[in-house]
Amino acid sequence: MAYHLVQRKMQVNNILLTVTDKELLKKVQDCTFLFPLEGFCVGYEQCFKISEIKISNAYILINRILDDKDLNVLENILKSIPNNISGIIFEDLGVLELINELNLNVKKIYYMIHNGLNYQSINEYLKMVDSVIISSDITKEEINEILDKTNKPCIIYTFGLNDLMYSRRTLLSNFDRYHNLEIKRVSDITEPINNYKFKVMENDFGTIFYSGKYYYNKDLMLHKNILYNWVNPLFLDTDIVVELVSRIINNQDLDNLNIELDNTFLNKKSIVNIKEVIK
Amino acid sequence: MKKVELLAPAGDLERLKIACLYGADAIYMGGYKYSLRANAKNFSIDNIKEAVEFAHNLKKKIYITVNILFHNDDLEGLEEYLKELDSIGVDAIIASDIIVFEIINRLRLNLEMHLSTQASTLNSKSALVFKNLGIKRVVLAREASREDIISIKKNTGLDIEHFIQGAMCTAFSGHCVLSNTLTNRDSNRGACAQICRWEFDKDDNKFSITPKDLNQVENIKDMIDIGVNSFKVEGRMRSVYYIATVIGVYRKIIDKILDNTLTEGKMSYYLDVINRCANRESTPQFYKGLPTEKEQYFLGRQEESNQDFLGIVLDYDDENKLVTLEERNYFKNGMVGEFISPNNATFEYKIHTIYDEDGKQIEVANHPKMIVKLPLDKKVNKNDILRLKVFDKDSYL
Repeated sequence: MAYHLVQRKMQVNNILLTVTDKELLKKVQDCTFLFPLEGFCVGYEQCFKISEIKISNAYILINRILDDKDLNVLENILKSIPNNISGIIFEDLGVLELINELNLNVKKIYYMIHNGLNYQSINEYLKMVDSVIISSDITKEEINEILDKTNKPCIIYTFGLNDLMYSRRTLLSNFDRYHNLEIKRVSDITEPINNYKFKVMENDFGTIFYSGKYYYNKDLMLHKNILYNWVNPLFLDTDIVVELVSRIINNQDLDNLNIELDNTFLNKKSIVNIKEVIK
Repeated sequence: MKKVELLAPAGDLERLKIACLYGADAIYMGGYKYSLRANAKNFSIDNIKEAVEFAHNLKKKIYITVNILFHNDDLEGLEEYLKELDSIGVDAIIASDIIVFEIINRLRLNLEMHLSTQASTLNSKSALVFKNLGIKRVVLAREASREDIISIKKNTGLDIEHFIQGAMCTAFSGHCVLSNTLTNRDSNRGACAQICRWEFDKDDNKFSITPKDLNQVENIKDMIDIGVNSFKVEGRMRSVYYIATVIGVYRKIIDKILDNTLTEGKMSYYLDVINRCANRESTPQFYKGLPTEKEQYFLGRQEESNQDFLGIVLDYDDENKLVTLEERNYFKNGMVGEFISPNNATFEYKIHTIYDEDGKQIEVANHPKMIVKLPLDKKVNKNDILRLKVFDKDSYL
């Protein structure tokens, strides 16, 4: 047999999967699970109390910007954090300070979804944390260069809706109240000029505008400097997520899954000066 | 007397000088590189040098914004740029990207470091992370409440800079790439297309996420009391008239609070003047709690532009009692205006005679930037402003 002609694809064995449904814990193997922490996340329908997280090697997500009162509440939660929580991913650096003060034995991961844009800044933060999540707002080449030049393995946003805007305002319910409509906390919004669709979700802590289509950074999944490939399958049915994860682990395309993809950020550099647009 | 700073924006040298003259203690501006207003005129290194000299002569400070979020390609030249700013005596750098602080520390530059509002600081512990890196001041997130300010001040000992006037982002600063998404213009590198001012469709309705502007006139005294050190006005793209009016008014408010002469009547007058000049509705936003639907626009942003700015004084001829004015908006004989000045009290002026540059009498001044002369017994100074009289100050007293 011509074995050399059979090009076996390498497997992706470092998936960090957001738990969007408890069923995933039973149905998906070979992943590390990420649990959005109840009261400390925006943009996640399914959040968890620490006491609900029983699985080993679990990570928790805290993606809110917090005030001092929030940090006091969080301190009480983290003081008694169980051993099965291996890491905390946080957007607010106040959480890092809190973890240090409490001397917690967890991996500290800074969520730099909009500010992890260059390797030098990331390397500065890597002096303080164990890893960071590199921004998904930049091109494949930029992410690749960051991965090549950072001093510790980083996390990339491999699959999910792009987090496009985070507001402290409750934008959906403000609108519904103004128009005397029934308040809905998840909505589809369209920008009519470009016919661009957003998925918008709010809770009492704010609002997130997500892209309407999913981002899939398939080409970089096997980079040697990746701690985790984060798969964040919001708004997808559990069975589809199971199949999706299997495809990603096997480094496959997502054809026939009925998932619309948009990788504009990966493929197109953003513009700084308007004159560049005219060119 | 408590020392507080009034911090003004400037998009170019003309506005910088106006801001200084009308009472700002410090000016923040973007250099030709790395500023979040990539499409403003911004300042060349020679401009910055001139600005520093002008401001320092008046004992005022210059802060340069180096507040983009850097991509790999932007890093080249950053060290040299910071060294240049240091060598010309800039007082402080406003930044949020950690690499800027790292370079300033590593090169031991004599630049004070201020943490930009782009870092969205709402709590003490995150501010302490940056304090450990040497920052002296934090520009709080616009979302900070009174309670947050008190807590951060108490727990960090850092200087607190907070916005008091101007446009609001819908998002936490730095946490929005709607502009990148819809126009490819990078909001975190100074090219924001202000998508939060656009209209969206939600079900069968027009959906809006546009916030009203910020205005803290009613809270300035309280903010002084709780320890805010610097009162920041937004608007590096705003006009000379806006800068003169808003800075002039906040200067008066702060000074009158500090010498205990601010009355409710005066405050109402100042509020009306600012609102008229800003053209848009404004509120204190997050200061006393989470904004509701009342702090947003839902039927499009109502901007009522006006032509109040009639002209700016170029010169005063003491001998002939004539003021030379550069016209900015149409005016004619019979209209009632008022002269505002950084140093003198505002006074009413009824336009009764207008001369063109050649001394010929005319009825109207109707060409933007035309030079005219008006008879005026009271001495005025260069950069004083003639505006339409809309509010009767005396009626507020």
